[in-house]
Amino acid sequence: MNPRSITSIALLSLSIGCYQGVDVDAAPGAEDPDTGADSGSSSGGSGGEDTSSEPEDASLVPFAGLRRLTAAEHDATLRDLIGDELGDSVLFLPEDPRTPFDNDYTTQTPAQSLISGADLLASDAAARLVADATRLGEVLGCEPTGPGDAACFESFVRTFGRRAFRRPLSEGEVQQYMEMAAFAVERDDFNEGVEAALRAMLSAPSFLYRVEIGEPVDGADGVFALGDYEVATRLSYFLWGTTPSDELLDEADAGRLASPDGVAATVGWMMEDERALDRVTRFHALWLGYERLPGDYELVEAMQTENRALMERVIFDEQGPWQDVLRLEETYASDMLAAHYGIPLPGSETPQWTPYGDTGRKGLLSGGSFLSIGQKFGDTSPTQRGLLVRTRLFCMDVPPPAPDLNVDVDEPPGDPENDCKWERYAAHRAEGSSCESCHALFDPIGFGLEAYGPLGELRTHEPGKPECELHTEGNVAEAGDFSGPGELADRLLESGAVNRCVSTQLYRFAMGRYELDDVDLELVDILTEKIGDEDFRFDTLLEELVASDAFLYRRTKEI
Amino acid sequence: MAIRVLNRRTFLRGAGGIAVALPALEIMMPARSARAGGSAATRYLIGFCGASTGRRDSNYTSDEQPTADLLVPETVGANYDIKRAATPLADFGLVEDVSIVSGLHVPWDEGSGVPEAGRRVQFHESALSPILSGMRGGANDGDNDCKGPTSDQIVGDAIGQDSAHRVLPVCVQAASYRGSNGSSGGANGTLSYREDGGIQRVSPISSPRQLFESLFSGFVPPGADPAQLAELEYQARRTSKVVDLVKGDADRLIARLGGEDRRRMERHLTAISEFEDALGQSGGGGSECVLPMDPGDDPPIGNSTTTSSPDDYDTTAAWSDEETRALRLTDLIHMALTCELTRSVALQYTYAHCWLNMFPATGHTNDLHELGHSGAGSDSDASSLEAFSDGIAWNVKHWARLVDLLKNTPDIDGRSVLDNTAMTLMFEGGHGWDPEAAAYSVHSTENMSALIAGGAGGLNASGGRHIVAPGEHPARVLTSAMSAVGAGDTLGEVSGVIPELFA
Repeated sequence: MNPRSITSIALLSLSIGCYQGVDVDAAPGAEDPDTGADSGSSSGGSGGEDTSSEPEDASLVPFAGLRRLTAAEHDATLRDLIGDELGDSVLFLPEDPRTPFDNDYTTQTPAQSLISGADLLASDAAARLVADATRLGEVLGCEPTGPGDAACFESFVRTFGRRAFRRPLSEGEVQQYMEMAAFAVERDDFNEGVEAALRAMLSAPSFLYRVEIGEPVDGADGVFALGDYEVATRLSYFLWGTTPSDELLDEADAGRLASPDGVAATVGWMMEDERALDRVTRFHALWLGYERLPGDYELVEAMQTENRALMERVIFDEQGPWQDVLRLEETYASDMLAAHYGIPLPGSETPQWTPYGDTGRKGLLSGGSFLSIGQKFGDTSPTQRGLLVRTRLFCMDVPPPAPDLNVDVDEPPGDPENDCKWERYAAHRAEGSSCESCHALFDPIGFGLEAYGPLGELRTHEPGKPECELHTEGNVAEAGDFSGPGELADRLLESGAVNRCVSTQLYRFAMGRYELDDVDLELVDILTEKIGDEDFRFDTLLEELVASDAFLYRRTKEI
Repeated sequence: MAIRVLNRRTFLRGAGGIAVALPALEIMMPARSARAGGSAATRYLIGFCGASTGRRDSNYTSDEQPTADLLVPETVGANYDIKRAATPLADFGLVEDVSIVSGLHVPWDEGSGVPEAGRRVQFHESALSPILSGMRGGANDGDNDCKGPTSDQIVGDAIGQDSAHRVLPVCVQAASYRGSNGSSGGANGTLSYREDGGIQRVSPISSPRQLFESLFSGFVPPGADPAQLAELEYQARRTSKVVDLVKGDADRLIARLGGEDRRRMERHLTAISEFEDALGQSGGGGSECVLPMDPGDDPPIGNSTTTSSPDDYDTTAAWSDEETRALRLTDLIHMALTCELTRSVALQYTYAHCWLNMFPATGHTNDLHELGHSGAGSDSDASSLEAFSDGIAWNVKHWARLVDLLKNTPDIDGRSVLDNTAMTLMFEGGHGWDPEAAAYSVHSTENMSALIAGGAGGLNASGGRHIVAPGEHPARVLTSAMSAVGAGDTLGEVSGVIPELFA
C-alpha cells in the first residue's frame, strides 16, 4: 500500500491552528453580506499563477446545479471538520435515492423536514463537541482567557468558518457570527458562544450546499469559471467524499487550482489520501449495485474488505490498468470467504491474496458482492442479473417495457413435468414472442452466472431442487459465449463498450446528475477518447475528468 | 430552530402532563391557532398503506372470484362484519366510528393513453398520482411522481395557514430497504406534493425525535420554576439568533445565485421560514393539549434486503423498529392535532411497493410486497392471503390507534377531536384484473378500498358503515374528507363527494 496518511488527516488538519493568511475581503466567493456583492476575485487567493478563465469551447460547458450534501457526505464532513464520528445523518436527512448514485441533486427538494433535520444534526454535533475538551481545543485552535475573549472567538469564527463554508468568510459574516460571543458573556462560559456559532454555521445553506457561483466568462452567456475554492470543493467531494482539508483550501488560496495543470498536480497528492480509496471503492459499489449488501454480517464484512483490497491493489498500489479490476485471477479472502466461494483456502483466518483457481472466476464480477445483485423470487434472477449487466456495465439504455407487458409478476409458472428455472423462463425465449426481443439481451447473460448463487457461492443445482442442474453457458449477444463471471468479464472487455461506460458512470458521479444531455454525452465522448479503447489507468481517467472544462466551469440552468 | 440543548432536554425528558404556555416570555409566540369562543378547528389526515388489499389464494378464490381480500366486510351498512385485515377496528372498538368504502377503481390506459385520473398499465407506484393528487399519472414506467398537489397540501392551504405547521408530512417506514440494485427512495416514499413553480416532492419526517423537537419546542413542562422558565427563554433567544443567521446566509446566496439554483435556495429559505414560524408555538386546543413524552433517541436504521424466498428471508433486516416508531409518531401526531399545531397531516405508514420486513410486525417471514406475491413461507400457518392481510392489518392497527386516541380526546367545543377531524387510510391497490399481466392478481386497481373516520363537516353522520361504491375513484374518498373540513371537493381531475359518507 502506498504511504497514504490515514484518517488522522482530519484531526491533523484541525490542529493546524488558526488560519490567518487570507485577506478575507479579497477572498473569492466571500461576498459582503451587507451588499451582497462579491468582494474578491473567484480565480484565486493571495498568490498563484496566471489563470485561464476561458474554456476551450464554451458550448461544451455542462449544466451544474446547487448540490446539497448527501447523508454520507454530511457524516464525512462532520467527521473531518470536528472529529465527530457518530454518523447519524441518515436518521434526520431525507433519504438519498440511488440513481444508482446517491448524489443526484435533481432529486433533492428542500422542505421543512430538511431544515429541522439539519438543525438537529447541527445542534447535536455542536453539543457533543463542546462536551469533548480535546476535540474542542483542536477546533478552537486557541486557549480562551475568559468568556469575553473576543480575539480567540474571532480566530475560531474565521478558522472554522473557512473550513465549514469551504471559503473564507467575509468581514460582514465574521462580524455576524461574532455576535454569538454575547451568549458566552451572558452565561460566563466561552463555550456557550462557540456552541451557538457552530450550530448556526452547521445549519447554514453555505454549509449544507456546495455553492458554486464563479466568474462570468466573457462572450459566453450563462457560463462561469469556478473560483479556486469552488474547484477545491468539487475536488474534495468528488475524490474524497468530504469537505476540503486546510491543505486543499490553502491550495485554493494560493491560486493553484485555477488551471488544469494545477488541478492535476493536486489530484496527485489527494489520491495519496486514504479517503480516495474509500471513495473509489464506494463509486464502484454504487455503480454496480452492491453498496448495501444483504446477508450475514461476517460474510458481508469479508466481501467489503475484499472489494476494497481489490481497488487498493489495482488502482492505488500497482497503478495498473483499471481492466485488472475485472480480470485479476486472485482475490483477497480468508478461509471463511474462500470456503464460501469454493476456491482454494489460503490457510488463514485473515484475508490473503488467494488464487481463484479453476472456478470460472476473475476479478470483481466474481465476488459475492457483484453476484448479490438481481435477486428475485428467493433466488438469483437471470433476467435481473442480465438487465443490470446491460444497464450498468454496458451502459445500455433499456427502454421501458411495452405497456402490455408485466415486469413485476409472480414467479414464472413451472411446467408440472419440469419445474426448473430454465424451463420456467422458456416463455422469454419463445421466438417471435413479445418477450423475446428484450429478454434475449438479458437472460442469456444471467444464465451464464447461474452456477453462482445469490452471494456468489458455487452451486451445482437450484436450491432445494437437485434435479435442476445449473449450467454456466451464457451469451452476450454482441460479444459471444461465456461461462461464468470470469469469461463474462472477458467478453465485456472485448466488447469495447466498457471504457465508455466507465467514463459515463464516473461523469455522472462527478456531476451529481444521472440524466445526460447532448453536451454531457459529447463530453463523455471526449473523455473516452482521452483514455482510448484499450487498457487505461483509473487515476488517469480521474485526472482527465477533473482537469477538463466540465469540471472547472459551469453553466447555469435558467428557469 | 428546535431547542435541543442539554438543559432544556433534561427537564423536558420524561415530562408529561398539562403543558404550560409561556405568556410572560415575549420570545415564545402565542398560540397562533388558539380559537376564541369555544369553536374548534377541523383537522385532516391522510394515511397511506403501500400495498394492495387482496390477491389470489386458493383458500379464498374461485373461478368466479379469482382474487379476494380480507378487508372488505360481507355485510353492507352499519355494524359490518370484521375480517382479518380489519381486525384492529374491532380491537379498538371503532366499528361505529370508521366507514369502509369498497368497490373503488382507478382506470388505466386501455390503448389510448393514460385516462383522466388514471394510470399506465404497469402497476407499482403508477396509481400514486391518481390516488393522492387526483391527476393522471406518468405514461412511462418509472415516472411515478404525483402530477398535482396532494390533498394534504390543498387542505393545508385552505385551513392550515395560521397553524404552526401548515402541513405535517410524516413517514413511519424509515427507509426503502433496497440498495442501488433496486428501487430506492423517491416517489414511493413520498406522500405529499406541493405546487411551487412546478409540482415538488415534500419529504416527510420519519424520526420521532425530530418530530418531537419540531412540534413541541414551544412547550414547557408543568410546574416549571422561574429558573427553568428563564432557561427556556434564554434557549429560545439563542435559537432565534441562530435562525436569523441561517436566514441571512440564505438571503445572501439568493442575491448571488441565478436560474434554478436561485429558485432552489428560495425554496430552502421558504422552508426555513416555515420552520421559524413553528418555533415556540404552544398550540391551541384546550386542557387536553399536553406535552407528550419525549420519545428519546430513534431506533437505528436497519439493513437492506434483496428479494428473497420466504424460507430463507432475513428476518433481522429491513426493519428499523417501525413498531416503536409508529407508536411514538402516532402519539406525537395525536397531540399535534389536539393542540392544533397542525390541521393537515400526511401520514405514510409504509412505502408504496413496500419492502418493509413483516416478520417483526406480523410473524410472517417476508416483506409486505412479497407477502402479496410469494406469501409467507412454510413456517406460517396462515394462507398467503391471510399472511398478506396481516401485513395490511399492521397498517390498519396504527391508524386505528390514532383514531382511538382522537376519539377519546375532548376538544374545546365539548366534542371529541375525532368529531372535528376527517381522516382516511388509503391503499396502493386493490385486487382483480391486472392489465399488465392479463390476469387476476394483486397488481390491480380494481376492488380498491379506503377507510374513513371522523365527524368533521357531517362526515360519517350515521356512524361507521360499509359503503359499496362500485367504480368510484378512491380520490373521491379524499375529496369527501377535504369537503368535510372545508377545503373544497376537488382534487386534480376528481371532484365531488361520495354522498353516502354524509348521509
